Amino acid sequence: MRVKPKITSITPGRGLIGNQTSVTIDGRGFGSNPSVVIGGTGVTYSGSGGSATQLTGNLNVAGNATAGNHTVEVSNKGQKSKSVNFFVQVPSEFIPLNLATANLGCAPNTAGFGAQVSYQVADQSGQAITVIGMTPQEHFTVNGIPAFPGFRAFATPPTTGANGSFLDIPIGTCAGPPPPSFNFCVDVVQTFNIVVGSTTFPIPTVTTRRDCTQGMRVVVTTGTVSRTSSLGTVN
Amino acid sequence: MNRNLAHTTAAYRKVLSQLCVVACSVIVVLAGGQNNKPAIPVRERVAKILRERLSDGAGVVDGVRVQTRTPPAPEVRKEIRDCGNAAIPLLTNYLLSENENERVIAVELLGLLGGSRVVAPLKNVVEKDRSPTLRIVALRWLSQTPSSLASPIIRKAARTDVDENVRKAARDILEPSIGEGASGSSAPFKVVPPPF
Repeated sequence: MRVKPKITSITPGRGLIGNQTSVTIDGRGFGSNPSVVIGGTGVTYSGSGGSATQLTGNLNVAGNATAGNHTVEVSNKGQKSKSVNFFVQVPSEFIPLNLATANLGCAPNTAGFGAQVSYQVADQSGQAITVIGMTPQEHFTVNGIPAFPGFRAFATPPTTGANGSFLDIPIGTCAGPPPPSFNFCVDVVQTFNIVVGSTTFPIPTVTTRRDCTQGMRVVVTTGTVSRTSSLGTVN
Repeated sequence: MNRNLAHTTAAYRKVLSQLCVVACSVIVVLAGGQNNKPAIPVRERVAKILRERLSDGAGVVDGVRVQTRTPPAPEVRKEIRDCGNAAIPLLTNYLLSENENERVIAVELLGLLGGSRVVAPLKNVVEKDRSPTLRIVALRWLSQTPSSLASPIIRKAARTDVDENVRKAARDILEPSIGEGASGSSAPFKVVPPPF
């Protein structure tokens, strides 16, 4: 008697575009030589082993794969399971985690206020992308004037950690010499993208800073919401 | 007679062969001189990178000289990596500078060099630098070096650093977890109280 394959779960249920995700497919009736079929474009499965109730393998998600849900089915001897979804994550937001003071390390006879901001990379549904090795890049202007051409990797270290977060440290503007006798401020606007493998994804998050010698205000507009935090004194 | 002739011919061949080696060497040297720029000593290259990083992001706003902290350009990353091991003792010297800005840049450049070769100078920063931020930055660069060397240093910092923020930074490296705000756009943007 043939048992129709059934998938009870795929773990993890989501994976990053342009990346390979190790997955476990649990269920029953997979038989001895099942095939795994992925719907949509840009996602393929390569199996590394399994049993009648569990398959392990990799989902290889191309850099141009369709974002969002892809169906996953297991077929065995002509019988096909109902599908479950695997969600392809596209980096879409930098969500600020916290703002803290930091030593800016201004040159002697200058003044400045330093801070650090940590961010989490999130996907198009606002969920964290917990992947190591993504490279966030920034471009910024100071009072409307570009500080440098193009984008530069700016996190320390330059790539995301295992939890998909990164730290921008230190941030701020030094003024002088001589150090201003008042709370001097400039406006900094940071725009972002992120590199995954060889693909660069634009990130609509914008961080608007007011860098003062005695404090800093940071407004992060993630793409969906805006959050403001301040440290010290800001004019 | 034939024997003498053979001897002489062999001697000529030997001289010709040696002349050829010398001539070829001259040609190679000349050709190399034409194709390659004279090598700039690593000391000068490192000093130049540091000078450029120290002035990166500088400008004038309303008559006030300003410098906004700027990430290194891709060319800087490449140049410091090209300098290789020879840059390490030079950068290590900059870690002793009274100018914190120089120390910040030196740690960054050591971090960009990466590998086990930078563990010792970064360890020195973690254990001895007076700037908590610089200690955090050094810890984060250490997290990119071989874990067998870096882990004991990070663990020690997590236990013993005098600054809570540094201890927390070390703990976060050892046990990364998704921070608040990671699971949705309604999460808070947490402000950590000023520690200094």
